[in-house]
Amino acid sequence: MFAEGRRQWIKKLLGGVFGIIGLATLGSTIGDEEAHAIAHSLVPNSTELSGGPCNFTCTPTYCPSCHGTYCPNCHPCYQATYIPNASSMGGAVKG
Amino acid sequence: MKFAMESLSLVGRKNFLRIIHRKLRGKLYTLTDVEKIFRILADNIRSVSLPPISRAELFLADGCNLNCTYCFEGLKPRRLMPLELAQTAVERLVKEWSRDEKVVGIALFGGEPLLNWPVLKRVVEYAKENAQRSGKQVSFFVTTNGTLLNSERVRFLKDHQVYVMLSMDGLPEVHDRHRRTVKNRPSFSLVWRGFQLLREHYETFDVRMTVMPDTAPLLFESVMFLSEHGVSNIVIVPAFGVEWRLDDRKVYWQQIRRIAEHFRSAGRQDSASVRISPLQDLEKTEELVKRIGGGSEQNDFGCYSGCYAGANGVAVTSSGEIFPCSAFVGSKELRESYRLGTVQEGLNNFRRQELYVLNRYGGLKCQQCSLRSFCQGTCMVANHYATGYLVEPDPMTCQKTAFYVSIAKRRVHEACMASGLTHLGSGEGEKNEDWVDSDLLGS
Repeated sequence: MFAEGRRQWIKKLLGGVFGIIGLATLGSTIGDEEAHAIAHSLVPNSTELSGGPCNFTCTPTYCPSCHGTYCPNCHPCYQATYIPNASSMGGAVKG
Repeated sequence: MKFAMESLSLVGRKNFLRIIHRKLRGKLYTLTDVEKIFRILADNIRSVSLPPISRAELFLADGCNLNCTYCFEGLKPRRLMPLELAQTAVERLVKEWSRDEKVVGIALFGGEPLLNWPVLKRVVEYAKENAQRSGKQVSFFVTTNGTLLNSERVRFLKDHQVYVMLSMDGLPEVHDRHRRTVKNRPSFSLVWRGFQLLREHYETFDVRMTVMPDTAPLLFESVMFLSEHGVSNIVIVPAFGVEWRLDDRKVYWQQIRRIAEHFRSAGRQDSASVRISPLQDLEKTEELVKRIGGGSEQNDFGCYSGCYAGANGVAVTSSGEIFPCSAFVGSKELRESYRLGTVQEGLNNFRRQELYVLNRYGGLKCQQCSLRSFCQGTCMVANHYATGYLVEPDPMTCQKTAFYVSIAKRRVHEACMASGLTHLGSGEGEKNEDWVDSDLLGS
């Protein structure tokens, strides 16, 4: 009686463990529609990702996001304020 | 060029999984589900349109004659970028990557770029000719430790309008603590010579101070030292990739506050002539507080996620490999995931798109942050170093925003009280400051 109970318990445990592993590796709990919705939400307005104007001091001489005085990546802000002379240019960031 | 493997990168998968996990919180999902979402996501990413690349950082030299303890690049052999490769990169930038952009920027970077002086000179001249032929303008920037500057070189840089950023940490004892030569000798006296030459020839140039936890207590004195020696543009940057304990961070912000108060004091003669990066941000935050008040509303300034590394700027290493920016080159994990191609073979636009989407998505915590309206964005690499994720904001950035907002609100409140108005900044500054000191600093 006791041995049978233990056998059942082990069977349940193993079934549970393999069930979870099996589900985790093979199964699917999310429908196609939901998967699409999640994937789309990660790429909002995917064709319009052009970046907006920055509200901060992203000038040619200072980029607050990377702390540099020349950020090659703050393009929208950089372009808006760019004046190509030595006094308005910055140097790249390192450190 | 079409790349065969257009699936998400390892770092990309890790970060997107982080986002998906948040979105599916409380639900049972499987690896199959994640793969399904990744596949759809990859298709969506392919449709993202990218802006032109108008800035490139050229690693003219991989190595450096200094071995600063905090440098994210580490000690590397002195590999120099060959002239031919540098010229090809310039040509690609001007004619191909920048598309119709009329202005392109070239940052001469390293290592120490002046170790490759002959190529630096030729690249500047070549880029000018090349841009002129294409009807474009080109601007140059160099970041240097200043130890290899001489009169002739400074004159060349000045004549070609190369804007200089000098890495110098302030007081001699502060500078020498972390900015050591390869033979572990102090470097201040070497840098000072270059500094004097720049002062002689340049009306204005930038000095970048990197702050370490152990030099933070002397930050105010260091800024005063530079200011007294005529530096008009100071950029203060806390080092990333090092541990900032709670106490260190408190000291850092206390020092910034001290600097802010010093330069704000009435009748201060030097306040107009010195431009210090955090103080500008503070002023801008003040303007925002005045304009949008308490700041709990959500608005989309389009740049809260900060940078667009890889989207409109790239870094080219001395061997011609392309990365989103120079900071990516210092991390093996990021390097492996975000190698964007080579100068010779071209760009992997899918990787650029992937990173662009991640960056655009912004920090996960940022989505619900009450200070989002005031945030200037975060550096993805700093996020990666601090949290292990590109999409989890670096706590130092969050503290910075909270710190600026608390001070700005207090200032606005004081100004309102002085002018008899009470509808703005109703004492929230004080409340926020408590929050900065306890909750946020403790996070």
